[in-house]
Amino acid sequence: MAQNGSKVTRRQFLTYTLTGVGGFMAATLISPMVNFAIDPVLKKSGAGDKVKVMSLDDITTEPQRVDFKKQTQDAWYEFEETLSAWVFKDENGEIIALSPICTHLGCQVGYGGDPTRPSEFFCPCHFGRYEKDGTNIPGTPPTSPLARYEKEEKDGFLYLGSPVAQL
Amino acid sequence: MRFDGMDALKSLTERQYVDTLIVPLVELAFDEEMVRKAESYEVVQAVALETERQLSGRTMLNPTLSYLDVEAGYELARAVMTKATTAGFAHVLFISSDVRFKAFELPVIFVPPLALKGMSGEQSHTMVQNFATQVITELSGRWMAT
Repeated sequence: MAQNGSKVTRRQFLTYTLTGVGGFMAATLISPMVNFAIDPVLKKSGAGDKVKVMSLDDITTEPQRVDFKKQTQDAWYEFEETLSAWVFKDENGEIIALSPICTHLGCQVGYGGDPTRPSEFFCPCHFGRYEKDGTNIPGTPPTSPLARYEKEEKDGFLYLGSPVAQL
Repeated sequence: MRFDGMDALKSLTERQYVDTLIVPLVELAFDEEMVRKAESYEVVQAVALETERQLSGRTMLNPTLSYLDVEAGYELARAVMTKATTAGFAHVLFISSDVRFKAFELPVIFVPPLALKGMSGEQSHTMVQNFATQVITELSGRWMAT
C-alpha cells in the first residue's frame, strides 16, 4: 500500500483530483439550471407593481370603467401603457376588476353596450357577450371568460396589478 | 391591429374578422401654418390610436396619410379606399380634422383641431376618449347594419 512517509497513494491522489474537478464541472452545469428553475420565485413580487386606480368609496354594484397608466417593459423598450378595467362589487360585497379585453380577438367590451341586454358585457366587434361576472355566454364568439386583475385594497384605495386569465 | 409585421400577418389570416380599416388623414404645412397642422395631427393621431386600442380585434390602423392640398388628399384617400376594399376590407373609415372633405364623397369622421398641449392630462384624456367613442359608435352602427 502506501510507501513510507507518504499518506496519499498515487491512486488516491488521482481519485480526489478527478472527483474535485468533476464536481466543479457538474456545478457549472447544474447551477444555471437550478437558477432557471427557481427563477419565478426569485422575481420581484407583483405587489409593488400595482397601480392606484380609484377610491374604494366610489365602487358600487354597477360596473364602472376606469382607465389607468402603467409602466411596461417590452424587451429593452419601456413605455407607458394605458389599461382599462371594469370595477364593481358582487352580491357578496367582494370587489371584482375585470379586464375589458375580449377573449375572442382583443377588442374592448362595454357594460350594457347592447341596449337590449343592459346587464351584460358586450363586444361591439363580433358581438361577443359575457355575464356581469365575466363568464362568456355560449353561442357567442368568445370561448373563455374575461380576465380579472390582481387587486389589493389599501388605505381606502383600490390598487390593480396584471390581468389574470380565468379558465 | 397596428400596421406592423405581426399584426399584418394576423389580419391576413383572420380577414373575415378584421374587416375594417381606419385611416388618419392629415394636412401638411411647413410655413407658419405648420404649428396648427401639427396640432390637428396630434388629435387625429391620438383618436385613431385610442379607437384601435378599443377595437383592435376588428380594425387595422393604417399609417397616417398626409397631403399638401385637399384635392390630392382626396385622390390619395380614394385610391387607398379602392385598394383596401378590393383586398377584402368591408369598411374603410377616415379620421380627419379638415372639414373641406365634407365637399367630397368620403367616409370621414371629423375631430375638431384642438391643441392638446394647452390642456391638463385629465382633460386631454377625456377629450380623446370622447372623440374615440364617436368613432366607435359610428363603426358599431355600421357593423350592426351588416
